[in-house]
Amino acid sequence: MERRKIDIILASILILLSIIILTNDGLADGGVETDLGSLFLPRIVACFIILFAGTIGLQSFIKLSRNQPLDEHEVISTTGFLGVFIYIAIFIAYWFFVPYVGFLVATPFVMLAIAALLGGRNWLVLTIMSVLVPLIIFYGSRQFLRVFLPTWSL
Amino acid sequence: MKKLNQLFAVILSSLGLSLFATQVWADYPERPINVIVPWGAGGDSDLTTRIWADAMEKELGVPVVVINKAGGGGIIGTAFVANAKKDGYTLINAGLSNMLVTPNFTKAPYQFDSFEPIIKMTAVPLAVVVASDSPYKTFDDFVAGAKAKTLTQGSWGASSSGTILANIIADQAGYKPKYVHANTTAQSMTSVVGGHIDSAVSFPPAFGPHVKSGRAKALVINKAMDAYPGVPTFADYGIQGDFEGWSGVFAPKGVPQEVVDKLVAATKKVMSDPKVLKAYQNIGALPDFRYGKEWIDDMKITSNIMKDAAAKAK
Amino acid sequence: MIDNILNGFASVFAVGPILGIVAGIFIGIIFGAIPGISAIMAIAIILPLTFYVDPIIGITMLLAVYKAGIYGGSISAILINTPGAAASFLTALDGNALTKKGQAGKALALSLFSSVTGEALATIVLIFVAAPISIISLQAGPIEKVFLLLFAFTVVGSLAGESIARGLLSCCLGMLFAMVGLSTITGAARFTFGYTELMAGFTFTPMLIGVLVMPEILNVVRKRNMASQTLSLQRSTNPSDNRLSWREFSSLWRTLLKSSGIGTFIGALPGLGSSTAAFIAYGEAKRTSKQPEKFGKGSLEGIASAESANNAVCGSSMIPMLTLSIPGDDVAALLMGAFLIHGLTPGPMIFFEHTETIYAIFAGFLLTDLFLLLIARSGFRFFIKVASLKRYFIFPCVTVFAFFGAFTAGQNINDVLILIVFTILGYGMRLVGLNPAIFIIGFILTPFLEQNLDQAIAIVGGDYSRFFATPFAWIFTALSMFFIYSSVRLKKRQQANVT
Repeated sequence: MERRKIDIILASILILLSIIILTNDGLADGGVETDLGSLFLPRIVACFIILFAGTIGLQSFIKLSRNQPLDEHEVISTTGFLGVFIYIAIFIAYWFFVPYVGFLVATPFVMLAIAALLGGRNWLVLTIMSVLVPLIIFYGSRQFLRVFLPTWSL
Repeated sequence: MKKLNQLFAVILSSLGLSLFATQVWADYPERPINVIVPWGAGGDSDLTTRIWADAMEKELGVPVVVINKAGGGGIIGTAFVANAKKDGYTLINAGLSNMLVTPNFTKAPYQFDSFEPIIKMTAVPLAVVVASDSPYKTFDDFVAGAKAKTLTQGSWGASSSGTILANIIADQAGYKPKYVHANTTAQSMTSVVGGHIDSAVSFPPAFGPHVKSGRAKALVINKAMDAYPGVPTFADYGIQGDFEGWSGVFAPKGVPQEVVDKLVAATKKVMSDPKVLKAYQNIGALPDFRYGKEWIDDMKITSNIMKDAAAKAK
Repeated sequence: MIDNILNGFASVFAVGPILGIVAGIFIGIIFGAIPGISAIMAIAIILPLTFYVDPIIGITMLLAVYKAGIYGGSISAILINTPGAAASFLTALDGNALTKKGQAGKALALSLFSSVTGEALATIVLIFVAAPISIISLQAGPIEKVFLLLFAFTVVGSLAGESIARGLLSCCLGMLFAMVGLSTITGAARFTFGYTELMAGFTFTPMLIGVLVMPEILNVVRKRNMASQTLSLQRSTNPSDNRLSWREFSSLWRTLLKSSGIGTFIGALPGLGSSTAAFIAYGEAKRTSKQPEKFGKGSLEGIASAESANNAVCGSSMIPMLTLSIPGDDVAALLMGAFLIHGLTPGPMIFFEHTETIYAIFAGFLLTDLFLLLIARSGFRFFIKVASLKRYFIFPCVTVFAFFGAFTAGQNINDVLILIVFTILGYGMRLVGLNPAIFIIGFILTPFLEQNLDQAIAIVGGDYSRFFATPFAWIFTALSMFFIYSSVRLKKRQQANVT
């Protein structure tokens, strides 16, 4: 994937957002009047974002229009992205299920799934690990950290 | 061995919790109680609550866990408890700012009425403080000076309890300071001692060490304290009102009366323990153990004063 | 003075304090090394346990947790490239590059020696010249701090890897994210779009893990099918690659001394914290280095500067706390709470009222450095062994720890969602060449900047010339200019070398 096009798209989005911050007073709600006001610093930052995003976007645009050859770091490799999506999906499912089935039930499945994703195949060791680690964390955090992880609540 | 027993108790109680969903209030508490502190770890409210929680744990026989849910000027933690289960296992460290000021001055998703007050643990009197090399030696000097030209006064946050109390004081004394908003009152004290601002409103835990070392001077205080002899009170200058920060424990509205009674009874015992009193003294807080109707009525009066002040400010 | 210190050592050399220090170091290293659990959490939890022991034991133990915790973060940063704190990000940059070359042992040794050097120097400064330094920090009011912060932003921006525009853009984005939520100054809800959950802003720990730790896991997942990637650690067979020679260490003394100095100075000024110190020291080391192009690719100077500076902050943040009762950061605030609970009121009087206790605590600090050196050094073999496990053993565990760390910060399951969102954002930033660590620094420094700017404006009133009435203003403006000038020159020189 070519990074220059992404640069231009991102820069346009950021500039648009900054313009919204500069013009919309409704972004800060309530509060008391002070010398600077609530939106002073956000607006300064928005100006800088326009400046820097503009610079990056423009540079990429010029390079693109001149058809300069791509630099090494201007190519975004997309190999293996499928795995990244699967990993994030596993994590979202983890987040979703823990409040219902509890930490001790959800974690072993998640650990096994990630181990499998990374190519682990010695199931016996992996299973032992995925059961032991959550148990240690659960009771350890309860005893020493006084953190009470979610339990089964169905 | 005792540790091991505790471990078993925790494991058993956690199992029991999942097996029997129904609650018998007479047995309260039978599992860990969470106390949310809506401020960061290490602050006054946090220390006050940790001392209480530690003592209550021994009294009640279950863990009393202090959880810091800081941010949003105390709103986040407080709103969290307002919507928590009304079973007495989730409590909130309440104070002037998150209970009486914030609901009136900012858009908060809860009100004073969303909570069942249980106990007040400590109070800290507000004082007006200047550096010891300041030209103002008494509060009268200070008021005269502040009327002649605008003086800076350190506070914490434009809609914080500090600024609002300072405003009520200034209104009555007839001056108008320029507020300098630090993040904490300890930071305003740094600015006072460093000579960057003229005065500050502050509490003993923050100004105490500076006064003791002779770099700052309290001009006027809400209640006379043994530690600071000879400092006049606001009442001495004819300024009316109660200018104190306090720290207490509230539950979400609608917890069973048995829970409230149990917590009050246990706190009563804890608050007479010299070790606990000593711990409070060390952090500069005055134990001010109150509960029941009379106390709640007092708070309602303050709440109404705040409502009026908020309406005026708009 | 010397008498007092010797007496202090005498009272620390007892079973109680030494056990406390050793226990504290173990707890600190473990907590620090696990991504997502920070030293401050460990301190907050251990704090009540120390209520009932002697203050010498209690406070030295808390401090041991703190120091070991800051060091512990660099272990996981070097070995598996998962920095637990923004301060260890720079260590991860150079340290992990060395690990990939098979020189993990050298990186670990250097980071340990630098940490201990930084800490010990700062502690010595704390013991001998706390009073004069504390006066300087008192002089730094809101106006002065605004200039100091602007200088910090300049340094951070000029460090930005690929291009300065991209670095500064990362910083601005971090600043923007920091301003979401209720403003502590005005009480206004900014950028919350009506969601109460956003009023507290973004919880820091899940964000930090998401932006700094998780992208490494995603990288591993991406490269899962490449044969060379099943083992997470290669070890060079050449033994000199896995230890630090005296020659290497002594060639770094200038960097170490300067970075420890920077760390000590930044630590003594309340509010800036260890990550800022690490960045400024790293920038300075890079600016003056003979081989600036090696920074980020396994530079020994890089590790030495970042580690010694961020650990020096541990010792020197105690200076304003002890002498002026001003806690510089949240850890110092917690420690000050510990002092108060033990009946020791910080302030100049503490040195007269509790002479014996305070010098015993100082002696305890120095002893902690020694024990940290011994304990951590003997653990290297073990750390490397753990990190040499196959990736499919390590990264499921790291994932669970990340989840656990995000949840634990506020015991709120929504924080895990923040973790996921920032994981995607952090990874995306890396893909398009934005710098996640600068993003985090922007996020950390913005509240200080806003607070101090607001106070400064209130103090000067209408008389803006007062902004330039302080020497700090001139010194830091000049320093900023100088830094910009020399980093631009550096860039030019590098480009000239390439072509």
